[in-house]
Amino acid sequence: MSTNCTVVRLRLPGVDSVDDLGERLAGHVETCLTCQAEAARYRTLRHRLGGLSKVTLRAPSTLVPSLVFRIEHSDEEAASDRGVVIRRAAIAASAAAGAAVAATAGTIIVIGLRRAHHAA
Amino acid sequence: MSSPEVERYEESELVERASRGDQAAFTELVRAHQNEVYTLAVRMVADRELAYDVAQEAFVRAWRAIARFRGDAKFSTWMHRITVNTAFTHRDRRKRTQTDSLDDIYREPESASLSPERGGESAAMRGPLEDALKELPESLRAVVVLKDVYEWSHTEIAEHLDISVTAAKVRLHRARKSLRLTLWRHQDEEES
Repeated sequence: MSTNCTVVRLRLPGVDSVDDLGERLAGHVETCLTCQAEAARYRTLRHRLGGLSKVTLRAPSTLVPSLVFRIEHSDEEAASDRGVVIRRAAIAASAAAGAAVAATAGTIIVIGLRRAHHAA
Repeated sequence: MSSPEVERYEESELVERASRGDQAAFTELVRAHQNEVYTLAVRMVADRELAYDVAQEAFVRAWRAIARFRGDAKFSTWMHRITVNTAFTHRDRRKRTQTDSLDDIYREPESASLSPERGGESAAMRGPLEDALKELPESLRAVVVLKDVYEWSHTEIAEHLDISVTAAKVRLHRARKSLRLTLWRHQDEEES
């Protein structure tokens, strides 16, 4: 296997056509049976992958009815989500307020203790 | 009713009605596009049950956002984008909860619970290529499916997967190389 073969093998997975390899390597592929075979494998692979676009699976028959049910209740769901967010925000706010009160009280106590210490 | 049977003008009318809150119109759109959305979801996540959840969630998101759908793209293209984004949200969610799930360990063999739909699906997904795709890591599978099956550009893939264009190209390279090695493994062994 030549250096060109090695480079072609490295680059083939990333291109959509042998022409994308550049003039020099594309020219090499034209004269190298091994590289032609490898290029043909990648061409087949891309072709078979492209063929999958024509294959459509049938969705389970329960998809539409359960989706309709969800959509009919989606407003309630969204309201419920909003309720959770509001409750979480309220909890966070009250926790922050509590922390602020505790910090203020702690500062007052420390100042009071310092004053008492200096007075003593 | 399948997607090609819905004429373009009829579809835009359904979209218009759905965007004004008409659930019946949206249900018609779902009926027309459910198979293609479900198929894309199966290809993205390689798991039928998860794909079902992804497809359903994608339609719910579409319903919530349809008032903002401007109609400059086809409805199916818009649905594909939502499905891809939803598949990634579910993947991330699953990664976070994976250690808790015993379902994967004790899951029934596939053939034991085949409904007619699932039988059809199983037949369509059979074959060495589908098996090789399922074996790919999710990040590689997503890129090769979107590029080579759905013909998305590298830029579109990069944008939707939140990666750079270079990363999209690298993943495509790795995915194709892995598929090629898997599919022609026996031939390679005979030649060496």
